[in-house]
Amino acid sequence: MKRFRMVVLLLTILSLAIAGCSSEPAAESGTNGTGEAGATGEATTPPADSPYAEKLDLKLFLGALPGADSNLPPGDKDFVKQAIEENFNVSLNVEYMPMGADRTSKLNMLLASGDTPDLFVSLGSDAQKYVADGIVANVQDLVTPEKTPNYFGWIKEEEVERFQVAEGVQRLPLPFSREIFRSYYIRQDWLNNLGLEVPTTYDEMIEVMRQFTHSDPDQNGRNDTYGYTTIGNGNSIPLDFPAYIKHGLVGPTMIENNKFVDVQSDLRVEGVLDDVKAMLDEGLVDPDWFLAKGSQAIDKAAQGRAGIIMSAERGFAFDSNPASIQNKSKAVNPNADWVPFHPFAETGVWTANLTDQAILFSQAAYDKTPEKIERAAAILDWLCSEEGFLLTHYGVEGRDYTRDGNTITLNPEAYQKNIIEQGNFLAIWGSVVPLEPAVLELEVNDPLMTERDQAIVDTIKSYTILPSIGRNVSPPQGFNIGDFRSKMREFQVKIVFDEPDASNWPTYREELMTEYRGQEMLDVYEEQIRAVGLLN
Amino acid sequence: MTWNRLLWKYRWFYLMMLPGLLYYLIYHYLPMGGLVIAFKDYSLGKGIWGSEWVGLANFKEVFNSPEFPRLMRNTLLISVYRILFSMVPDLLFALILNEVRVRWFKKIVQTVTYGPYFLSWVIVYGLAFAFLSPDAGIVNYWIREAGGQTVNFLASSEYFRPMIIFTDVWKSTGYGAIIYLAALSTINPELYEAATMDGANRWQNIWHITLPGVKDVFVLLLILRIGHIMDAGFDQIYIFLNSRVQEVGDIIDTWVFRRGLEQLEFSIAAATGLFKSVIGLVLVLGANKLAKKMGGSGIW
Repeated sequence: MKRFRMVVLLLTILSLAIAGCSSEPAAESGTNGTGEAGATGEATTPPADSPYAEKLDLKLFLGALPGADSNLPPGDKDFVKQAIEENFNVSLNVEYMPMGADRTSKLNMLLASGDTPDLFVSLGSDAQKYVADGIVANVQDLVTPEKTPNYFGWIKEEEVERFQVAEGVQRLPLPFSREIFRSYYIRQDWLNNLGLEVPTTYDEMIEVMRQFTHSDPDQNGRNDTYGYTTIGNGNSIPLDFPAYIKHGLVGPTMIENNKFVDVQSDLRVEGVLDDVKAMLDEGLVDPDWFLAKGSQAIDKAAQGRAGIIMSAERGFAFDSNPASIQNKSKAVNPNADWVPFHPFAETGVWTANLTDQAILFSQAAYDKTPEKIERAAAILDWLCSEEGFLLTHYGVEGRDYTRDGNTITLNPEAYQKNIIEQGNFLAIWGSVVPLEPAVLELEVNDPLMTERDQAIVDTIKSYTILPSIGRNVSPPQGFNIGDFRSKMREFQVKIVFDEPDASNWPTYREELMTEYRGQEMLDVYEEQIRAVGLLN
Repeated sequence: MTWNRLLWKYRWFYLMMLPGLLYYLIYHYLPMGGLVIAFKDYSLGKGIWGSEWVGLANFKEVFNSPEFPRLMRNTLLISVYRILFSMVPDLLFALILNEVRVRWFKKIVQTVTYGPYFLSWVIVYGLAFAFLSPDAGIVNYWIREAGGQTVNFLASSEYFRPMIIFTDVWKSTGYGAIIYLAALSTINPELYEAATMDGANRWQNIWHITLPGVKDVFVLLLILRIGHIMDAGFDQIYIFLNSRVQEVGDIIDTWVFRRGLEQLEFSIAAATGLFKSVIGLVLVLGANKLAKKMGGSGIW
C-alpha cells in the first residue's frame, strides 16, 4: 500500500511538473522571442576594431521567390548565413515562406503570440495594420542615405516617404523589380500545324484559341486541347484574361483622365465579364481553370492540353531554365516550342511596378535591445550592397562565378551543385533584392543562355509599359479590404458562371461601393495620390 | 462527517484528481480571461490589458456586417444537415455490422471503413478533385462518355452542401459507428435469447431490444452535437470553399478566420467566438433538459 501511495504521489508530481514546464515558454515568449539560435552559435571573439563587439541573436522572417521550391541547408552549406554571422557577429534564426495567404496567417500568428521577428518582410497591406498596432519600430534614424547607402541604391528616398502610413519610417519598401516580363506564350508548333500566324490583335487571339480548341492542333486525332488556361484559385477572374486590356483596363490600378482607377472594381468590368463569359461558353478555356491553384495551369499547358498561357516570370520559357514550361513541354513532345506574344504590345501590357512588400523591424526588440535593430538594418544594407547581391544571387566568387571588371561569368555546374542541390536556397536570400544586376552596373554572362532565350527577352522588353499610379496607396483605417475584395470576386464569379450576361455588374458594383464602402476607399486613394502631386 | 474530514479521508483520491483539475484550470479556464478582448479594441502593441475598452462595439460590428445573415443561415443549415444525415448512417452502419455473424468479415469491414477517418481534409479534397473536377475528373469523364453534360460539382452552389455532407459521411461513418458498437456489446444477450424463445424474429429483436439499448447513447451524442451547432466544420469547409459556392458555403468560422487571422482583427474574432459559445451553451442546457423530460437520462 505504501509503495502504491509513493507511486501515485510521484506520478502526480510528475504531471504537475509537466504542466508547469509546458506552460512556461508560452508565457515567456511574450517578452522574449529568441532563444534557439543562441544555443547553437559559437561565441567567437570579434576583431578588436569591430563595431559589433557584442554577439547578438537575430530572428528573421523572409520571403522566398515564387515558384521555387526552396529550403535552407544546414549551417556550413549556407554560405550567405555564414557570411552574415561572421561580418556582423550575430547568430541568425531564419524563417521563410513565399508570399501568400498562408504566409500572412503564419506571420499574424507569430505576431499575435508576441514572437515578433527582429526583421521581417510582409505584404504592404498587412504592414499597414502592424504599424497601426504599434509593433513596428520607427527606423527613420537608422535607415538613411548616410547610414544605409546601399539600400538607397535600390529604392529612392521619395519612395520610402510615400510608403509611410504614420509619422516616421516604419514600412520600408522591399527593393523590387523594375523590369516587367509579363507576356502571353503560344505554341508555335501548333500554329505551324494549323498554318496560322502568331496573333497580333485580340480578335486574332480568340480565333487562334478557337482553332486550338476545335482543330486538333497537336494532330493526335483526339479533341483534347484548349485554347487557353489560367488559374482562378477558386475565387477570382484573374487579370490575365486578355479581355481586361481590351476594355482599357491595364495593370492592377491606373490613372486615367486625372482619375484613379481600381481595375477590378471598375464599371468597364461589365464588358470584361461578357467577353470572358463568351470565351468560357465557347469552351476555349480549360474547364479546370477556376479551381486550379499554383502551377496547375502550367502543368496542364506543359502536358500539351492548352496552347496559350500567361506568365510574368522572366525565364518562363527559357531553354536554359530546367524548370521552364519549354523544357517540361519538350519532355512530353520534343517539337514543343513556346514563343512570347502580346496582342496589346503596342498600346500597353501592364503598368510600371510599385513595391507591394515591406521590410519591418520589431518595436519590442527596439525597446529592449536597440543594437539588435541597428544591426538588422546594417544587414539589410549589406544584402543590398554589391557584395551581398553577388553572394545572394550568384554564389561564391571564383567557385560559382568569375568576375572580370564588371562582367560576371556564371559557372552553371558549380551553381547546380552548390546552390540548386542544396535546396535552391538563394531563392530565399535572393528574395530581398531583385535579380537586376544592371542596377549595380554589372553585366552577366550566362553560358547556358541560348539565342532563343535572348530573343524572348528582347521581344518582351519591346512591349509598352504604362506609367504606374506613382505611389502606394493604403485603404482608410477600419476599412475592410478583405471583405470588399472577397464580395467583389463573388459577384464577378457569379456573373461569369451563373448569369446570362454581365448586365447586373453595375448594380452589384453599386452595392460594393455603398454597403462595402468601396467609394470611400477610392476617394482615399485618390486623395493620397493627389497629396504628392501626381493628380491635379 | 464534516467536509474537511471527508477531504482527509479521501485525500489520495483528491490528489489523483488534482492533475486533471489543474489541467482544466490552466489550459481551459485561465485562457478564458483573454475573452475580455471581445470588449476591447485589441492592439498587438498594447496587449490585452493596455487595449482600449469599447464595450459592445465589436458585437455591433459583427451583427451589422452585411455578411452576417448569410453566415448564420449557412452555419445552421450545414450543422443541421450534418446532424440529420451523419448520425443516422453511423447508427445504421453499427446495426448492420452487429448483425454480421462472420467475425473475420466483420473485422475487415470495420478496419476498412475506419481508415478514412485518419485522412486529413486536404487529402479528401484531393480525392474529391480527382473524381469530380470538370475536365480531368473521372466522374465527368464517365458522364461525357455516356453523352451527358459536364457538371462542375466542386464549384456549383447546388452540389456544395450535399457534397460536404457526403464526404463527411464517407470519412467519419466508420469511426462514428464504433461508439454504437460499444453500446451494442453491453446489451445482455439473454434478452435476445428470451425474445427468440417467445417467437420474436430478427426485425422484432432489433426494434424491441437493440434500438432501446442504444437510445441513451444516441441521445447523448445528439446533445453533444447540438452544443456544436454553431461550428459547421471549419476544417472541411475552409478547404472546399471557393467563391462560386460562397453564397451557400461561407460559415461563421471561415469568416472569423478571414477577419481574425488574415486581417488581425482579433477582437472581432473573439466577439464572434463568445457569441457562438453562449448559443452553444444555451442549446446544450436546453437539449439536456428536454432529454430528461422525455424520460431519458441526459448527460448529467
